[in-house]
Amino acid sequence: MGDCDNVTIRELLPDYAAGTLDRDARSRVAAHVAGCALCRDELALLAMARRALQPAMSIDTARIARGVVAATVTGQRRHAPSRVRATRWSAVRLAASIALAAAGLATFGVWQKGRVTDDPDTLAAVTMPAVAAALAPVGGLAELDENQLNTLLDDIASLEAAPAAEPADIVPTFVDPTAEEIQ
Amino acid sequence: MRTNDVSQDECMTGSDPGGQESDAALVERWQAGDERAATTLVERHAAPLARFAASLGVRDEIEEIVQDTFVRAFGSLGQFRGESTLRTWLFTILRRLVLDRRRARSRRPVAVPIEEGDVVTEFDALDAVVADEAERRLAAAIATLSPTQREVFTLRVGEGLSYREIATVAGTTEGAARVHYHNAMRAVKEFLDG
Repeated sequence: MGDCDNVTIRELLPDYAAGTLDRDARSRVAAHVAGCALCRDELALLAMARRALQPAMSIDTARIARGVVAATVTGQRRHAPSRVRATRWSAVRLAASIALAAAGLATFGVWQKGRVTDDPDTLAAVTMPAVAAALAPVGGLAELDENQLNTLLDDIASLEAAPAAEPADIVPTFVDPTAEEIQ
Repeated sequence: MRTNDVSQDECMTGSDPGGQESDAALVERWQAGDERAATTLVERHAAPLARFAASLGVRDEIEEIVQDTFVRAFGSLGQFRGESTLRTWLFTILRRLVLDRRRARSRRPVAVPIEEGDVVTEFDALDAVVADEAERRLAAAIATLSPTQREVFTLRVGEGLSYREIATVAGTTEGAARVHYHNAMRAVKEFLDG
């Protein structure tokens, strides 16, 4: 089976077989095919190939449609609140970080004023208002479920900024230029 | 020239030349909450997608992968820019899903990679419904094509896609799609002449 030299028409044969050409192009191809045995053979081959490539598929389109609608609608309902939760959870983590920093600063302030204490009640009295204030906009710790609380605690434990121990005494670095060199 | 290159017109008129409600109009109705529009779109495109999946070597999960294609498409209609037809976009999504599954399987220790023979088996199965001897020989000829040639030939001849649409679906160029098609056609003719 040979090929016709008219490349333009040959390019259009699959579209002609598929019935997707506009009227002018269809007429042009039909006129050529009427006088060209090679293109008639190729067109017959294409028509046969279309039948072979379009077997009756035993698919249940109604079931697919039901599944698609159910999955898409459920997905929309499921995703919307989760985005809100994700945003809220991020806000909680951010607020917790700020609260931790605030508590650290408050503790540092107490220490700086010479009121260093190991008493947990005193430390709580200083730090908890700062933590509560930072978490208040997102509903506070009571809103968190167990997993979120554990994650938050893990985050706090892993923060490098959190002091692991009481800081060492501050050593003055000012040097009086008129004084004698320290031995 | 091709009457199926009418995506812009469809958007304007809401119906195609055949009088059917256009894909664009159905998509709009679906986005407005009309579930019947989704059903119509599925009924319109499911069979071509199933055929394309079969041509890519999918055997047992055709319905599942067709459904996943629609779910993906409907879930990301905001990303559909209308530069191609909805059908082309669906073909593209399905092809990506098939490749993703193939890659996922190849990573599993118990995976059975899809070989050339698997696709041939698909066309062997096709033989059962092809009564005519000439058509059976043609199916055998198509089965001898390389996967790329078969994909392009299927989209061009079986589904009537343009080279531009095939390039979009297969992630290649129009020129490459044209070359693959003509090589496939030559191979089919040689098989039938031999």
